[in-house]
Amino acid sequence: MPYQGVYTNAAVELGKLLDAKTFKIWSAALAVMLVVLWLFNMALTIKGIINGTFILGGRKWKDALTEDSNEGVHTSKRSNGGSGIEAGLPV
Amino acid sequence: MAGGGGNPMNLARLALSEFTSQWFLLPLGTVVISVILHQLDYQFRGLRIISYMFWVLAIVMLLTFFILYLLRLAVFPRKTARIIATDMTELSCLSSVVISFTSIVQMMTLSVVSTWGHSWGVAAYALWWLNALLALLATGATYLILTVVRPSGIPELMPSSRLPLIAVITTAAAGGTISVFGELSVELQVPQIIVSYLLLGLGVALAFMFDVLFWARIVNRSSLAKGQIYQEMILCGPWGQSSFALQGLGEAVRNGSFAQYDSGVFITAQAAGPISAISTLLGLFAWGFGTYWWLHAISSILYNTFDHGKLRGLPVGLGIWCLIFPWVSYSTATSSSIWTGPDALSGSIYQCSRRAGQAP
Repeated sequence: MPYQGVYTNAAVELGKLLDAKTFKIWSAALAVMLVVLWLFNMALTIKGIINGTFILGGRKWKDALTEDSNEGVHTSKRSNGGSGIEAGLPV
Repeated sequence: MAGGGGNPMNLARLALSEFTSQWFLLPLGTVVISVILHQLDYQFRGLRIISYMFWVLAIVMLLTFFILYLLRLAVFPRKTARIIATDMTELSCLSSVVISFTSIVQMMTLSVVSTWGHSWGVAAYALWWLNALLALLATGATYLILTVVRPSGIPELMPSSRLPLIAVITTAAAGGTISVFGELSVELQVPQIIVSYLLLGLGVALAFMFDVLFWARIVNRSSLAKGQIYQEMILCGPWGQSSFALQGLGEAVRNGSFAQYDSGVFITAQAAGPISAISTLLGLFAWGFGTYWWLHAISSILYNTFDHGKLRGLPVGLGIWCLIFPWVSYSTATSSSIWTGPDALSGSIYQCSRRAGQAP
């Protein structure tokens, strides 16, 4: 795999010549934090999909169903289509 | 979840009418994780497979959300158009489609060209030009609305308004990656490198301008609401991505494309060395600035999580996905700095210390 060779070989050679691993360790630490954050976000998102808050702009499925029974289809009270970036409603 | 006395069809229509462009932040956060895992220096057995899984997941998410958004446009055209025209966040997040698409093409170059042949590099190259066109269109349209059609004013300026310019910078970064790993001829590489630098100039200048405006907003006591505070992480995105783009383009120039093309006084072997070195230097500058915004965002989020010393938490919504992509841009730049910059820098510090008798 030539592309991997260019990248890895340069990094390995530089690592050997300069004996400096600071940024390699830092980038690895950042990547680990990121994967944990991604998993955490995904868990919150799945929870938000299940209870409806991420889809219905902060309302829950059961609340929307109750309103639906009473009023028929209507748009959300918050018409920005927002699922939290603006108002950040709780899950 | 859809039980009770209501009509599930009506509920599905309601969900579709509320399907916001902020959902595109998910494939964006997912595809860039695949890139960082693929490029990480510390590889363990199976990490490449994990990165490909993230990549496929991002493609599936992007396609699904794109179809759902088109469906929303078709079923609720007036409401959707009104929201896009009036809600800056909704409009800006549409640029996430372009950023995700570009990052998927970038990852395609990194993953399949070496195994499936250089025709995939040519395909990535063609898609990259489409990416460049889409990124320019997204930037032009978004900022036309922001400045001419419906100016929001500095107190309402959101960090998410940077997403279109991040699309432009991401296209420049992908230009460097495709040029280095796409196994392309120099006739194809050189125009791509030049256009990538042009896109980078556009994106970095806009990013600096938006930073100044946002700084004016926050020092003028118009800080973001608690539910929007995650967006502050977007601030480090343009700088981290710029750093990555500059290093990638510097690498592309150093790889021999300029030397082989040999035209005029700029695209020559003599100019390649200085251009590459300047790109790396500017990449370090951009990475340093990105580090400031990264620390600022984390501090701001932590500050807002506590209220008078007590843990209160923050409201949770799709805004949490604003955290991933800029962070990845920042850490991708860190990772790619291993190519040339920081190790060389550390090495210089080490050698100076050794000369001064402070290191063994």
